[in-house]
Amino acid sequence: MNIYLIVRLRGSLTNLALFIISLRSFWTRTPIFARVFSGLCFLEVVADIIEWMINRNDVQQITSNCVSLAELVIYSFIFLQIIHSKLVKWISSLLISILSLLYLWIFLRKGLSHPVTFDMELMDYAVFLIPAFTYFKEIFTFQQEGDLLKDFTFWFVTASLFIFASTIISRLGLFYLFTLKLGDYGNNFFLLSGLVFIIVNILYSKAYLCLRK
Amino acid sequence: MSKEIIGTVIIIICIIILLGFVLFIVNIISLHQKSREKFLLDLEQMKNNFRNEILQSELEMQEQTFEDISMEIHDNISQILLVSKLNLTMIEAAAPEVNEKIQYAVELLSRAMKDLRHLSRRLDSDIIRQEGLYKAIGEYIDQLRKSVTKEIIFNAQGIPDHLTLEKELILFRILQEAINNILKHADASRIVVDLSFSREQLQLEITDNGKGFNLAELLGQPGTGAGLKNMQKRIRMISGQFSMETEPGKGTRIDIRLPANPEEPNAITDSAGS
Repeated sequence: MNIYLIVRLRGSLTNLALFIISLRSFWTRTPIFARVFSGLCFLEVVADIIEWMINRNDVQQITSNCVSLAELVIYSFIFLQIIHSKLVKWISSLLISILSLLYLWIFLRKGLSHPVTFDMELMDYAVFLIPAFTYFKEIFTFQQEGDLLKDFTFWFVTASLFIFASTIISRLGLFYLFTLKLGDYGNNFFLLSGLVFIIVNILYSKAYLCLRK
Repeated sequence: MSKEIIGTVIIIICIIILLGFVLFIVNIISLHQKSREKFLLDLEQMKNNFRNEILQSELEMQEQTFEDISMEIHDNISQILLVSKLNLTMIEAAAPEVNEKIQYAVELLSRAMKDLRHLSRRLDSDIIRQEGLYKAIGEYIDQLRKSVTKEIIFNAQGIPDHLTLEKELILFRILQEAINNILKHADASRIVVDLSFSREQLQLEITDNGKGFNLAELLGQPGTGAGLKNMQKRIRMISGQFSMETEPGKGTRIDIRLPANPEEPNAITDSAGS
């Protein structure tokens, strides 16, 4: 079994584990977005199953695009719920609307199987960095009393910020390596992304484990 | 520079950036923890201030009520009783056949007037305002000696003549409450009040040789010990310490300590006993 397959398998398994843990949100006292995010976990698991079962490039691209679009919608909904700053909400909404229109334009022009994930995800995540950093600023104003280490939202935003930041860094790094014609080093990035992905899922799981009945 | 080195450097940079992210999160947690501790401390302080203000208002209202009752007894009820007594005395002279009953009624009226006078003095805080804590306690104990058959000893060391009125009033009301409790429940034959005032602190100690009680049991029962908790709260409000030692059959000792306020001049070191 090659290394790509192992990393993919590990990613799918952690996705499945996260989805199972996220089901806790349905029988605990929880913010509504915890349940909405559980929906995204479900979509990721379904996409993984499809990708494992149908080993075709176009199908994999379609599922990947769908998940990417679902991420844009769900993360937008969640971050707009979490942050308080009206200005940041307004800016984020504007940028997200532009990105949504861009998705629509690409899919209408080139079809759903056109590979857009690489660039679009990069832009999605860059936009989400704004509300994520705003949250960390706002915890000193709006969340002074609670213990961060036991707070769902804190771990959720930490995990999200980690995946956004690491994806941006690793993809830009990979892009730079390709421009230098050092594509072989891409393997290392792939392994690094796999590791980051596992850490992120652990952080999301930690968030769900903070929920109490 | 060889391609291999460039590739490795880029990967190392990426790893360093990710580690920076971890440090960022750890830093956020640590800063928030500090900010939270400060916030909780401020919150606790605010709650304490709020509680103290409520207690202060309660005390002011209580003092005002005592004052009103005292005045009412002195200016109105006592006068009515006096007029009734005079009328009865006149009837006594006019109708000698009911002499015995009228005499008894006059006697009852006199006793009621005397009790009311004592009550009026006890409620009145003017003596504390005018004469201070030391004399107020002395007079209160003198009155008690006249109305109860118990041995009451008052020892004073130093004169707390520069306490704030608020502190003096609180201490005086607590002393009254403690002695009332002894008279009502302790079945004691001897009560000792020790008041000492030094450069560092004021100490008020009230001891009796009564039947004592199980303090833990009393505080554990719901709806009991309210008076005791109230005394503790009041003492805390003026930054003092309150402690109580008691055991069944071994009497009770209440110890109150107030740190000397640096802004309040020290007492004259003097010894007084009665």
